[in-house]
This record gives sequence, structure tokens and C-alpha cells, in this order.
Amino acid sequence: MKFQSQEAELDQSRFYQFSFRVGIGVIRRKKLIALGAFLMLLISFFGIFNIQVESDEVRYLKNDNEFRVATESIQDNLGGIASLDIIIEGKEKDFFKKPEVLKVMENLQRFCEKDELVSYSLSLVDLLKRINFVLHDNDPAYERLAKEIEEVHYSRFETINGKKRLVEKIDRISGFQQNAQFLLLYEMNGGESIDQYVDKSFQTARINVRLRDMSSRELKNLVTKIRPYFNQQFAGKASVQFANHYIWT
Amino acid sequence: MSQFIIKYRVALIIFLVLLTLPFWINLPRLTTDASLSSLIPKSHPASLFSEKMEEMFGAFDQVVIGVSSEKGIYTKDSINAIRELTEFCEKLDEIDEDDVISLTNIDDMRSSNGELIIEPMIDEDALEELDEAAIEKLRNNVRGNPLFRGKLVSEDERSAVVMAAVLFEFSMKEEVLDFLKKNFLQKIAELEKRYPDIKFSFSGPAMLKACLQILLI
Repeated sequence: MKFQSQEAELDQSRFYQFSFRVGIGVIRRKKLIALGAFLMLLISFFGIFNIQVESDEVRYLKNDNEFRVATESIQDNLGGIASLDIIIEGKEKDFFKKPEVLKVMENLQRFCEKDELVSYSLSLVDLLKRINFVLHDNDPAYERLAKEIEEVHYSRFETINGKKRLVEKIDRISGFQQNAQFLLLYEMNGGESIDQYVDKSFQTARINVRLRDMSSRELKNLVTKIRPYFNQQFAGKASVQFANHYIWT
Repeated sequence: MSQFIIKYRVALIIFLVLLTLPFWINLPRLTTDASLSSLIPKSHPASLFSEKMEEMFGAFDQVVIGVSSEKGIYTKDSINAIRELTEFCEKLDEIDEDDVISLTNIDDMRSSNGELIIEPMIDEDALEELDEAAIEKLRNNVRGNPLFRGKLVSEDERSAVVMAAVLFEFSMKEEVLDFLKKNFLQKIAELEKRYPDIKFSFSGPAMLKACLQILLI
């Protein structure tokens, strides 16, 4: 008796009627439903190949978002808002005073700058080139790094056969010595930028590479290109690591 | 079983709500962190390396503000706006005072009688007066310096950038970044009123975190 009244109650339940009809419908069209599900799965397989890992947070924002507009304006006109820091560690102290090392570092910067993602790069190399240029009375021929051996031309009075004469002299100094002297001179006169690019022992240096975009995919591509170039250029004399919040992801 | 669920549906719904109630107690304590760096544990080698490098070379997380004017960046108004922004940044506790870079606080190099002289690109007196001669000198100094040309000032000389590094101890704190963002926006709004011809573009990785924070809430 109790069971019958329960059954009657259930029969009247709208929810029961609805779920009953759905259930019957599913059973009747089971092949069609299975085929539909399979087709959807098949379509999604094609989508898998188009999935890209991307962590450019600016793209989370809408196109007309004030912050996104501002960021894109800076990226278009002023080099970008983010940077990749290439950290190079040499195997000995004063590694980054060596002309041959600085030359390789300069090559690495030019290599990076060829990539569309990079707007510019700055390092100790740029600072030393500037000091060389300035100390040679802004002569464009000296807007360069020191060579292995540098010739220093100067004139001085010397007594020859009892007479004072102005004599042209040439001294040869190593590029290493010149770099050390330039950096000392720069620091003694109040220059404060060296610390941004090299540690106190001149064993670890940083190249700051400014990026036009914050795309993690393009950044990964850039790093993938830099590594083999670095290994080829430095030939095991130094190691490289990268510092950037986006590179972790 | 299904009959039991249907029969006691209301009671079951109430039971489930009651079951989740204790979890609601911690709801106000939930915090949001939109930065990607928060996904990496602080003990992760990449995180530790980045921290070490920031200690060595200075903070990496920057606030970047673009200052643009159709009249060009070498005008009294543009330079004054850059100077005010620069001084504002330098006074903030959350910003590394030594790591604020702009046209009005950078040093330039020159030589005199074989001596290397390092001096401000534009000195205090010239900044105060800011006459045509001082502006022209500044323009020529930047044009002739590859360290700044196309970097601090755009190639078309209509935009310049002010960069300020957020101290590492604050760069992961959402409430500090949010506070900084509000402070900057307030200052920029004030400058926009006084310099209507100048457009300010407020950005930078540090501020991006604060912006995304709002989207998460």
C-alpha cells in the first residue's frame, strides 16, 4: 500500500518524468549519441595541434584596455617594457676585462639584436666603447672595444744633442690593461653604471636585452637560438643562464 | 537509491550546503596573486637564481612610463613632466632610488684635457631655467650618445621613457604593488591636468601584476 502511494507520487514528479524521457531518448538513440561524441572528439584532436603555450599577460587584457594600450605604445616607440637578462659566468676573475671575451660578448649582443623580438641590448661592452670614444675626443674611429694590443700615440719634449725637441712616441699596452684603466677612471670620476653590468670580481656579467613583446613563445625561440651561438662563441670558457620572470613558465 | 535521492532531495541539498559552510569561513582570507612568478616555488632554482641576480645587479621588476608629445620631447613642458615623474619615483619607499632612469637624472661622459668627466646630462641649474640653449644642449647630448638615443628617447624624439625598479622585497607583494599603482595613477592624473598636451603611458611588468589582480577579483 505504502509502495503504491510512493509510486504514484513519483509518477507525478515533473523531474522524474523529465529524467525518464531523457533516459529513454538516450537509450533509443545510443548509436547516434555515441557517433556524435566520437565526432566531437575527432574535431578536438585537430585543435590539439593548434594549442600554443603562451604567457604574455598583456594579452589577457582587452584590446581597448588602458594598460594594454599604454604597454603597446611603449613597445612600439620605446623598446618595450620587459627584458631578458643574459647572465654569463666566466671561469676566472677579471674574465670580463679581457678584450677577446668582450668582443665575443659584443658579437652575442649583435646576434640577439638581429631577432625581431629584441629592440636593443646593453652591457659592459657599450660602456667601454663609450669611454674609449669620449677619451679620444669623440673620434668615431675609437667607438670600439680595445684590441689585444693598443698603441698609444703621444708627443713629448726630449733633449736630443743638447736641444729640446718635440718627439712623437708610441707606447704599446695590452687591451686588458686599457680596459682595467678605463673602468677605474670611470669609477673614480663618479660613474655608477658598472655595477649594473658586471660583478665586483668581473667574473659574472649581465647583458640586458630589451624585448619588444612579452610573448613567452617568442622568448623561448630566442633563448633556443642564443644557447648554441653562446656555446660556439665562448667554447666552454663561460656558462650562460637567463633571468626573466617569463622564462620560468 | 535513486528513489531515496528523489524523496529526500530538499534535505540532501540542505545537508550539502551545511557541509560546505565551514569552508566559507576562510573565504575572506583568500588572496589573489596574478603574477606568473607566483606559480614558481620560492625554493625553485630559477627563483633563487633570479633573486641572487637581482641582489647582484639591481632589481629587474620595473615600472615603465612613456611620456609623449606631438610637439616633441625637447620642450619645456615635456622635460618638466619627466623631471617631476622622476623625482616622484625617487621619493617612493618601494622604488630603488638608485635605479630610476630618465632623461633628467642620467649621467653623461665627456673628456677635458685627457680627463674623463662624468656629469649629469642636464644639470640642476639648467633644469631650473630650462631655456632654449639648455634644451638644445640636452637634445644634442642624447643624439650623440648611443647609450640613450633610441632607448631613453624614441628615434622620432616624440617620446621618452621613465623607468623605475621596484625593490625585490616589494615586487611580490600584491598590496604594495596595488598601492604603488594607485599612487602612480594619481600622480599621472595630476600631471595630465597640468600638461594637457602630454600623453602618459603607464606600464611595466611590476604594474602588470597589479592590473591583472583586479581582473581576478
